[in-house]
Amino acid sequence: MNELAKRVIEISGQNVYACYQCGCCSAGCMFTEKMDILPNQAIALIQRGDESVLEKETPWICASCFVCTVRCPRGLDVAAIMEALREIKIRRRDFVKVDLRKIKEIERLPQIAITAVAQKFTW
Amino acid sequence: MKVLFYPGCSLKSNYPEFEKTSIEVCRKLGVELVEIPKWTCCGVNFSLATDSVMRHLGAVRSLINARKEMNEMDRRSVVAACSMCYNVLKRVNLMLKEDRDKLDTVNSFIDDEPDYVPDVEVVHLLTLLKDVGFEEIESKVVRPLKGLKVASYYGCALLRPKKPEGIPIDDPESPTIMEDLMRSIGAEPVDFPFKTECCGNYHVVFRPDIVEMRAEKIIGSAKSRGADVIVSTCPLCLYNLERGNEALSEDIRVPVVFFTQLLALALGVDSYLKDEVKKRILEGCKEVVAET
Repeated sequence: MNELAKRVIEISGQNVYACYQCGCCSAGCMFTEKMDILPNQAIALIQRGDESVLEKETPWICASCFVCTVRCPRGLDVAAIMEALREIKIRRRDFVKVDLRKIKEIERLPQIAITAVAQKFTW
Repeated sequence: MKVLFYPGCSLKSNYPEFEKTSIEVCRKLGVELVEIPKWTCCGVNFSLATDSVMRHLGAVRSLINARKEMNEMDRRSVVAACSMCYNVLKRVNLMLKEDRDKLDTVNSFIDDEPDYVPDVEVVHLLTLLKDVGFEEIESKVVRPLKGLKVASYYGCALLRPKKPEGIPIDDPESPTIMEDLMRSIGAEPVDFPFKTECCGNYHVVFRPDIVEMRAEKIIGSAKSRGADVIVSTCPLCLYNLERGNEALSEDIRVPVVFFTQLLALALGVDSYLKDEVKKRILEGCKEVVAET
């Protein structure tokens, strides 16, 4: 097993090798038009140990809506796999995806949105 | 009936109308929502990293504090009105019920509180209202919202994921609980295919374009089915859909309110609806009973 897949499995608890690339996750995903690769393609890269997947926008566009998770015929929690890709980056302590000090119009945003983004995008 | 209530941050800060109408509607139905003392933020999104329990601790602390009060209550439940709070508390509780190792880890880490014993259940306010009975609610209606076309927007957190069992409050692909509730107050539910789709969640902070893309589709779909109003169970969905409304031309906009605000209107308690929204809702009703 490659190191990337091992790490994703450790964090997500999901056997990424169970994915047989049917694309059901990508077909149901309502955010693909904002992604650079499709969710099933991200899983294919993990299976191959291709770390370029960590530099893609796709895991950061995933909003954890769980439509893919509910529909995966292999029972994979695809949203958890996307979270693992984010976590691998976030846990590198010098990595900064978003700077919470640079939130525009912070007084206009509800607290729930700010806490949610902080929970997902920071260590 | 007395039952413990987890209000969550949004109901205390940005959306007091959601808390006030939840409490008032329940009181009208003979249910007293008792706020959990010393509750803390749930974290909004359930952490999907299975190798760490850190992000679950806020929810666990609230459940521990809920448990201290449980003997004074009429059911061993924690009720949440906010979808996100419901989802996080529910998932954390289910995880601790199923995973003894994680329960031990959490309990050994939180050493300033009694151990958590997962013998309570987390329920959403909609489920509590269903338990009270939609017929019972119907019998308490003083102002039926006859003819008002209501689009029930569920979003994600009430319905997904499907596993572990118990998270969805209804069928995850085709829920009807909110429509049934709306029928009980005389309104006319309109079905629309985007009712279980995602509003874009926290992307509103750094990628509002994503939220606008989602909101336009959801609102446009509800509008095409003739909705006068969209009801929501989630402060973040409501905020995001309202952001979408701002980006749409006026003839396509559909006001978004909390489901409890329509219940309040029908049951004759203060709905805390903005004047212009209330006017539009009452115009949607064919039979208007004059009275607040």
